[in-house]
Amino acid sequence: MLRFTRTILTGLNYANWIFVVLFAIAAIALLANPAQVAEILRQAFGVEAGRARVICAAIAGLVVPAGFAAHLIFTRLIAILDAARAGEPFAMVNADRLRTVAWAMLAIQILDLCAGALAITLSKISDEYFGWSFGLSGWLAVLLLFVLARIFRIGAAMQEDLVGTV
Amino acid sequence: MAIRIHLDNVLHERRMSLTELADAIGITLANLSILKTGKAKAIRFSTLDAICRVLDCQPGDILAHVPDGDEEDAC
Repeated sequence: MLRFTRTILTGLNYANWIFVVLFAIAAIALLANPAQVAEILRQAFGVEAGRARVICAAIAGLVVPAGFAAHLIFTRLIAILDAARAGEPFAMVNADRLRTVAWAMLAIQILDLCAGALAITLSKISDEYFGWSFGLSGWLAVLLLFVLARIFRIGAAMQEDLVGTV
Repeated sequence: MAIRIHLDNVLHERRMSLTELADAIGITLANLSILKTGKAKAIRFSTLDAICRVLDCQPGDILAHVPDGDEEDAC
Protein backbone atom coordinates (compact mmCIF):
# COMPACT_ATOMS: atom_id res chain seq x y z
CA MET A 1 0.00 0.00 0.00
CA LEU A 2 2.76 2.45 0.99
CA ARG A 3 4.73 1.50 -2.11
CA PHE A 4 1.67 2.04 -4.31
CA THR A 5 1.01 5.43 -2.70
CA ARG A 6 4.67 6.37 -3.22
CA THR A 7 4.37 5.53 -6.93
CA ILE A 8 1.20 7.64 -7.21
CA LEU A 9 2.86 10.62 -5.48
CA THR A 10 5.96 10.35 -7.68
CA GLY A 11 3.72 10.28 -10.78
CA LEU A 12 1.74 13.28 -9.52
CA ASN A 13 4.96 15.22 -8.99
CA TYR A 14 6.05 14.55 -12.57
CA ALA A 15 2.59 15.65 -13.76
CA ASN A 16 2.91 18.75 -11.56
CA TRP A 17 6.16 19.80 -13.27
CA ILE A 18 4.68 19.17 -16.73
CA PHE A 19 1.80 21.53 -15.81
CA VAL A 20 4.25 24.10 -14.41
CA VAL A 21 6.23 24.10 -17.67
CA LEU A 22 3.06 24.31 -19.80
CA PHE A 23 1.62 27.20 -17.76
CA ALA A 24 4.98 29.00 -17.74
CA ILE A 25 5.06 28.74 -21.54
CA ALA A 26 1.46 30.03 -21.64
CA ALA A 27 2.37 32.99 -19.41
CA ILE A 28 5.39 33.85 -21.54
CA ALA A 29 3.31 33.51 -24.73
CA LEU A 30 0.66 35.86 -23.31
CA LEU A 31 3.26 38.42 -22.26
CA ALA A 32 5.07 38.20 -25.63
CA ASN A 33 1.65 38.71 -27.31
CA PRO A 34 2.28 37.26 -30.77
CA ALA A 35 -0.26 38.00 -33.51
CA GLN A 36 -2.18 34.70 -33.09
CA VAL A 37 -2.60 35.21 -29.31
CA ALA A 38 -3.59 38.87 -29.81
CA GLU A 39 -6.24 37.84 -32.31
CA ILE A 40 -7.73 35.16 -30.01
CA LEU A 41 -7.84 37.62 -27.11
CA ARG A 42 -9.39 40.34 -29.29
CA GLN A 43 -12.16 37.95 -30.38
CA ALA A 44 -12.81 36.84 -26.80
CA PHE A 45 -12.50 40.13 -24.91
CA GLY A 46 -12.89 42.85 -27.55
CA VAL A 47 -11.67 46.23 -26.32
CA GLU A 48 -10.57 44.74 -22.96
CA ALA A 49 -8.14 42.34 -24.71
CA GLY A 50 -5.07 44.16 -23.34
CA ARG A 51 -6.23 43.94 -19.71
CA ALA A 52 -7.43 40.35 -20.18
CA ARG A 53 -4.03 39.38 -21.58
CA VAL A 54 -2.22 40.65 -18.47
CA ILE A 55 -4.73 38.93 -16.14
CA CYS A 56 -4.49 35.62 -18.03
CA ALA A 57 -0.69 35.85 -17.93
CA ALA A 58 -0.82 36.50 -14.18
CA ILE A 59 -3.12 33.50 -13.60
CA ALA A 60 -0.83 31.26 -15.66
CA GLY A 61 2.19 32.71 -13.83
CA LEU A 62 0.64 31.86 -10.44
CA VAL A 63 0.85 28.17 -11.38
CA VAL A 64 4.67 28.34 -11.21
CA PRO A 65 4.96 29.14 -7.46
CA ALA A 66 2.01 26.80 -6.81
CA GLY A 67 3.96 24.10 -8.64
CA PHE A 68 6.99 24.67 -6.40
CA ALA A 69 4.73 24.38 -3.35
CA ALA A 70 3.17 21.19 -4.74
CA HIS A 71 6.69 19.83 -5.35
CA LEU A 72 7.48 20.45 -1.65
CA ILE A 73 4.28 18.61 -0.66
CA PHE A 74 4.92 15.59 -2.89
CA THR A 75 8.63 15.21 -2.03
CA ARG A 76 8.04 15.58 1.73
CA LEU A 77 5.15 13.10 1.67
CA ILE A 78 7.34 10.63 -0.25
CA ALA A 79 10.09 11.07 2.36
CA ILE A 80 7.56 10.47 5.18
CA LEU A 81 6.34 7.32 3.39
CA ASP A 82 9.94 6.10 3.02
CA ALA A 83 10.48 6.63 6.76
CA ALA A 84 7.27 4.72 7.51
CA ARG A 85 8.39 1.86 5.26
CA ALA A 86 11.72 1.81 7.13
CA GLY A 87 9.75 1.46 10.40
CA GLU A 88 10.63 4.91 11.78
CA PRO A 89 7.66 7.20 11.10
CA PHE A 90 7.72 9.06 14.45
CA ALA A 91 10.91 11.07 14.00
CA MET A 92 11.52 14.80 14.41
CA VAL A 93 12.54 15.05 10.76
CA ASN A 94 9.07 13.78 9.75
CA ALA A 95 7.40 16.36 12.01
CA ASP A 96 9.45 19.03 10.19
CA ARG A 97 8.43 17.56 6.83
CA LEU A 98 4.75 17.62 7.79
CA ARG A 99 5.09 21.26 8.88
CA THR A 100 6.70 22.06 5.51
CA VAL A 101 3.71 20.38 3.81
CA ALA A 102 1.38 22.56 5.92
CA TRP A 103 3.22 25.79 4.92
CA ALA A 104 3.24 24.72 1.26
CA MET A 105 -0.49 23.99 1.43
CA LEU A 106 -1.05 27.44 2.99
CA ALA A 107 0.94 29.01 0.13
CA ILE A 108 -1.23 27.17 -2.40
CA GLN A 109 -4.39 28.41 -0.68
CA ILE A 110 -3.14 32.02 -0.77
CA LEU A 111 -2.19 31.64 -4.45
CA ASP A 112 -5.67 30.20 -5.05
CA LEU A 113 -7.21 33.34 -3.52
CA CYS A 114 -5.06 35.50 -5.81
CA ALA A 115 -6.09 33.40 -8.83
CA GLY A 116 -9.71 33.74 -7.69
CA ALA A 117 -9.49 37.54 -7.50
CA LEU A 118 -7.99 37.61 -11.01
CA ALA A 119 -10.64 35.20 -12.33
CA ILE A 120 -13.44 37.37 -10.90
CA THR A 121 -11.91 40.46 -12.55
CA LEU A 122 -11.69 38.54 -15.82
CA SER A 123 -15.34 37.47 -15.47
CA LYS A 124 -16.39 41.09 -14.92
CA ILE A 125 -14.62 42.46 -18.00
CA SER A 126 -15.74 39.62 -20.28
CA ASP A 127 -19.20 38.84 -18.85
CA GLU A 128 -18.24 35.18 -18.84
CA TYR A 129 -17.91 32.97 -15.77
CA PHE A 130 -14.32 31.76 -15.34
CA GLY A 131 -15.09 29.08 -12.79
CA TRP A 132 -13.62 29.99 -9.45
CA SER A 133 -15.34 29.67 -6.10
CA PHE A 134 -14.10 29.93 -2.55
CA GLY A 135 -13.64 26.56 -0.84
CA LEU A 136 -13.16 25.87 2.87
CA SER A 137 -11.75 22.36 2.50
CA GLY A 138 -8.26 23.56 1.53
CA TRP A 139 -8.08 25.91 4.52
CA LEU A 140 -9.30 23.13 6.83
CA ALA A 141 -6.59 20.88 5.37
CA VAL A 142 -3.99 23.55 6.25
CA LEU A 143 -5.24 23.66 9.86
CA LEU A 144 -5.32 19.87 10.04
CA LEU A 145 -1.75 19.62 8.70
CA PHE A 146 -0.39 22.11 11.25
CA VAL A 147 -2.16 20.19 14.06
CA LEU A 148 -0.87 16.86 12.73
CA ALA A 149 2.67 18.28 12.49
CA ARG A 150 2.45 19.31 16.15
CA ILE A 151 1.12 15.87 17.15
CA PHE A 152 3.93 14.24 15.13
CA ARG A 153 6.48 16.39 16.99
CA ILE A 154 5.08 15.24 20.37
CA GLY A 155 4.97 11.64 19.12
CA ALA A 156 8.59 11.87 17.97
CA ALA A 157 9.66 13.24 21.38
CA MET A 158 7.83 10.34 23.08
CA GLN A 159 9.47 7.87 20.69
CA GLU A 160 12.91 9.32 21.51
CA ASP A 161 12.16 8.90 25.22
CA LEU A 162 11.00 5.35 24.64
CA VAL A 163 14.19 4.48 22.77
CA GLY A 164 16.22 5.53 25.83
CA THR A 165 13.97 3.65 28.25
CA VAL A 166 15.30 0.41 29.73
CA MET B 1 22.90 13.43 33.99
CA ALA B 2 22.40 13.93 37.74
CA ILE B 3 21.43 10.28 38.26
CA ARG B 4 24.36 7.90 38.55
CA ILE B 5 24.13 4.12 38.18
CA HIS B 6 26.06 1.86 40.55
CA LEU B 7 25.05 -1.41 38.92
CA ASP B 8 28.72 -2.42 38.48
CA ASN B 9 29.40 -2.20 42.25
CA VAL B 10 26.33 -4.25 43.17
CA LEU B 11 27.11 -6.85 40.49
CA HIS B 12 30.69 -7.08 41.78
CA GLU B 13 29.47 -7.59 45.36
CA ARG B 14 27.08 -10.36 44.17
CA ARG B 15 29.83 -11.93 41.98
CA MET B 16 27.46 -11.75 39.04
CA SER B 17 28.15 -10.78 35.42
CA LEU B 18 26.03 -8.41 33.37
CA THR B 19 25.11 -11.28 31.03
CA GLU B 20 23.86 -13.39 33.96
CA LEU B 21 21.77 -10.48 35.23
CA ALA B 22 20.35 -9.87 31.75
CA ASP B 23 19.32 -13.53 31.51
CA ALA B 24 17.86 -13.52 35.03
CA ILE B 25 15.66 -10.44 34.55
CA GLY B 26 14.79 -11.10 30.91
CA ILE B 27 16.01 -7.96 29.18
CA THR B 28 18.64 -7.77 26.48
CA LEU B 29 22.32 -7.36 27.33
CA ALA B 30 22.41 -4.32 25.04
CA ASN B 31 19.66 -2.57 27.03
CA LEU B 32 21.22 -3.50 30.36
CA SER B 33 24.55 -2.18 29.11
CA ILE B 34 22.84 1.14 28.21
CA LEU B 35 21.56 1.29 31.80
CA LYS B 36 24.93 0.37 33.31
CA THR B 37 26.83 3.01 31.35
CA GLY B 38 24.33 5.73 32.36
CA LYS B 39 23.13 6.29 28.79
CA ALA B 40 19.50 5.35 29.53
CA LYS B 41 16.97 8.21 29.61
CA ALA B 42 14.51 6.33 31.82
CA ILE B 43 14.05 3.05 33.65
CA ARG B 44 10.76 1.16 33.90
CA PHE B 45 9.55 0.21 37.39
CA SER B 46 9.25 -3.37 36.11
CA THR B 47 12.95 -3.38 35.15
CA LEU B 48 13.95 -1.84 38.49
CA ASP B 49 11.78 -4.35 40.33
CA ALA B 50 13.38 -7.28 38.46
CA ILE B 51 16.92 -6.00 39.09
CA CYS B 52 16.24 -5.45 42.82
CA ARG B 53 14.63 -8.89 43.11
CA VAL B 54 17.53 -10.72 41.42
CA LEU B 55 20.29 -8.73 43.13
CA ASP B 56 18.42 -8.63 46.46
CA CYS B 57 18.95 -4.91 46.86
CA GLN B 58 17.09 -1.59 47.07
CA PRO B 59 16.74 0.95 44.22
CA GLY B 60 19.01 3.27 46.22
CA ASP B 61 21.81 0.70 45.98
CA ILE B 62 21.75 1.01 42.18
CA LEU B 63 20.69 4.63 41.64
CA ALA B 64 22.15 7.74 43.24
CA HIS B 65 21.37 11.40 42.72
CA VAL B 66 24.39 13.64 42.27
CA PRO B 67 23.70 17.41 42.17
CA ASP B 68 24.87 18.89 38.84
CA GLY B 69 27.70 20.91 40.41
CA ASP B 70 29.09 17.87 42.24
CA GLU B 71 28.91 15.57 39.22
CA GLU B 72 32.35 16.47 37.85
CA ASP B 73 33.90 16.15 41.31
CA ALA B 74 32.40 12.68 41.67
CA CYS B 75 33.90 11.49 38.35
